[in-house]
Amino acid sequence: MSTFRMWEVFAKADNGPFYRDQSEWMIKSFIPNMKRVVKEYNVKYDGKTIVNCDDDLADRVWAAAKDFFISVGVYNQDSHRVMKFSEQEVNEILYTKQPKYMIGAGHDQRWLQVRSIEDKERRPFHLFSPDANFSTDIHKKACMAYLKEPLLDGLCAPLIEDFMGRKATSQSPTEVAAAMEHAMNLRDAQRLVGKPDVWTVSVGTAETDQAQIAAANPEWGVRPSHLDGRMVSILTEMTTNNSMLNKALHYRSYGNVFGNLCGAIFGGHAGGTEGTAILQTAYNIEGACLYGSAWALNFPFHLKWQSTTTRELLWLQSVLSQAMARNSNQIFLNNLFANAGPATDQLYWECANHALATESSGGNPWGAATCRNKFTDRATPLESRFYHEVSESSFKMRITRAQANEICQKIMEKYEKLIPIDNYGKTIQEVYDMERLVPHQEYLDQYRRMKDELSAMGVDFVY
Amino acid sequence: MSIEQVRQYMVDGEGEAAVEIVKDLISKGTPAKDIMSGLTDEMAILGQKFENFEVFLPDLMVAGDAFMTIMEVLKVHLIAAVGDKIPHTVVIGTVKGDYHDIGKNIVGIVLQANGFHVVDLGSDVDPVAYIDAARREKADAVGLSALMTTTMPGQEEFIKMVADAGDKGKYLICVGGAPTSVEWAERIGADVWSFDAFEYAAKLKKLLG
Repeated sequence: MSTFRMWEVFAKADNGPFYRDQSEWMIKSFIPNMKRVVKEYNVKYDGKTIVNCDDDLADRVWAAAKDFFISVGVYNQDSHRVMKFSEQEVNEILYTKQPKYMIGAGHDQRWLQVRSIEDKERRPFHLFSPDANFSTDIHKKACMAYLKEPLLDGLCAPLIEDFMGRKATSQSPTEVAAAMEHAMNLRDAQRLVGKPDVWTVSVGTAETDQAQIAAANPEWGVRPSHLDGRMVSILTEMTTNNSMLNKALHYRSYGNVFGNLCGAIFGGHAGGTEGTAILQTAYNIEGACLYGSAWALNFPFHLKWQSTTTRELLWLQSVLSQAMARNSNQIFLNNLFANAGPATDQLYWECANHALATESSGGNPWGAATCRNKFTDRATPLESRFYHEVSESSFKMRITRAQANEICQKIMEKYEKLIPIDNYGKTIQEVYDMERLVPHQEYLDQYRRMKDELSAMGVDFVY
Repeated sequence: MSIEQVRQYMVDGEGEAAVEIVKDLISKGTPAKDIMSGLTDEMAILGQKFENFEVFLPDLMVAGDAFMTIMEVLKVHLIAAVGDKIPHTVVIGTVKGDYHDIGKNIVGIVLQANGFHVVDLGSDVDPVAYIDAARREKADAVGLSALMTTTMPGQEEFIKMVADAGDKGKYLICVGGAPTSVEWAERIGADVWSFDAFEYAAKLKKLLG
C-alpha cells in the first residue's frame, strides 16, 4: 500500500497559483502563514530544554506542520507556480506510507523502519556518512574505512573533490564523470571489505539530475530497487524545481528506496526555533507528497554556524522526531552536522549529544559530518563510530527522554561556549594509517578516553 | 507625525502607511535626508538584532520590503537634494547550478540597509549575466554566493572570465556561502570573502569608502 500519483503531482507545477518570483510568495504566503501557525498552535521553546518531554507539544507541532504545508504548498522555481496539496490528498498519502523497508541484500540486509519514542523493540538504523568532500586519490580507501565499521547498516559515501585534476563542477562533464567514479569506487570498496550488498545512499557527488541518472547502472554503478538509496532535496525554503522532479521521476522508475533531503534553516525564513521546528516537520510531509519519497533525512541547521548540535537545534530535532513518531508512519533519519573537526574532544561531545537527543525521541542516526561541512578530507570513521555507539547504547539502556535531557545538559556545558570558535581538528590522513585503514594509536586512545568520560556521565556503552 | 513613526511602520512592514507619513513630513519641510538617515539607522539596529538572533530573517525581509517601498517615494527628493552622494552599486547572485538563495538574500537586505544600491540577479546565474549586469550598472562590486561544493567552482569560473573579458580590476569580486572559506577565496583570487552579510557590508564600506 503506497499512494503516489506521480503525474497528478507533477501537473501541479503547471497549474498552481502564479507568483512572479519566490520573494513575493515568501512575503505574501510563507511568512504570514508561518507566523499564524506558530501562534495558533501555541508552539513555544523555553530556551533551555534539549530533549523535549512534552507529548502535547509534539502533537501541536505536527498539526501546525500539516496546516502550514496545506496552506502554503511548494514553490516551483521553473514554472513560478505553487504546487498545492489538499488535506484529502495529504491524508491519503500519509495513511498509505509504508512504515518499513527491507533494504540491502544477503548478510547486509536490514530493516529501515519507523521507530517510537523511547523505543524498546526497534534498534536505530545506523547510517554512516561523513557528508564531506574527500580527495580523489583517497576516495576509495576512505569508503573502505567507513564500510569496515561494525555498527554500519548503510553508508552515504564521501563526495569526490576532483575528476582528472579538475574540480567536479555542477552541470558540467566533470560532475557527471565524478559521480560515475564515485559509484564505481563505492562498488569496489564494498567488495573489497566483504560487504558487497550493503545499502548505500548514492551518490552525493551528483548534485544534478543528469549526473544522478548517469551514475545509475546495475553492473558498475548505483543499483536499482531496494539495493541502494538515493536522495532528492527540498530547496530552501519549501521550494523545488524541475531538476528535483526529474530526480524523483528517475528514482521512482529505477525503483530505489529513496529519501527526501531536507534542512530548514534556523534563523532563516521560518524565524526562530519554533517556526523552524514546524517547517522541518512540514518538510517530511512535503517529501512524501511531492516526491513520493520513502524516507526523509532531516538536517535543520543553524544559519550562522551551519551545524545541528546547538541547544535549540537539538531540541528542535527531538520535537520533530517525536512529532513524526507519534503521528505518522514516515521513516526518517537525523543528520548530525558538527561544528568541530576530527580528533577534537568537542567533536565527540557534539556527536554524543546529537545521538542521545535523537535516539530517545524515536530518530535514527545519520553521521557524522564535521567542521561545518567546509573542508576536504576533514572527517574520519572514528567520530562516526563513537556517534553510532552512543546511539546504540542509548537504545540498549532504554534511556528515557528525561534521562537523555539530563545527560545532554551536562554534555552541552562541555562545548556550548566553543561553538563560535573555529576548531577544525585534523584530516583523515593525519588520524588514520591510510594503508591499513585503521586509526593511529593516539587517536584510539582519545576515543577510549572520551568513552570513559561519557560513561562517567551515565552512558553505559554496549562494548 | 514623526520620523519615529515612519521607522516603526517600516519595522512592522507597513510600507504604505509609512509612505503617507513620509509625504506629510516632506510637505511640512522635513529634509528627505533626515528621514533616510532615520530609516538606515533603524535597519542597522534591526540588522544588529538579527546578528544576535533577537529577530529573524522574516522580520528583516518584511522591514526591507517596507524600506524599499518608502525609498521609492524618498529617492525623488534625495536626488534633488544638493550634495547627495551616489550610492555604490553591488551586483549579487547565486552562481550557476545553485538554487539556494537565503544567504544572498540576507546580503541584499543588509547591503541596502547600509546604503548600497543592490542589483539582485537571483539564483542559478550564468557568469556572463554577472559580467553584463556589472557593465550595465557600472558596479563597484559583484558578489557571488555558492551553497554547495559542486557549485563553488562557478566563483572561480567567473573570476577567470572577468579577466578574459578585460574587466579585471573594474570592480571588486566578492565570494561567500556556507562551504567557502578565506583560503578558498585566496586560492581563486577573489577580492573579498566574509563570514556573513554584516562582515561583508563592513568590508565593502571600508574598501569602497
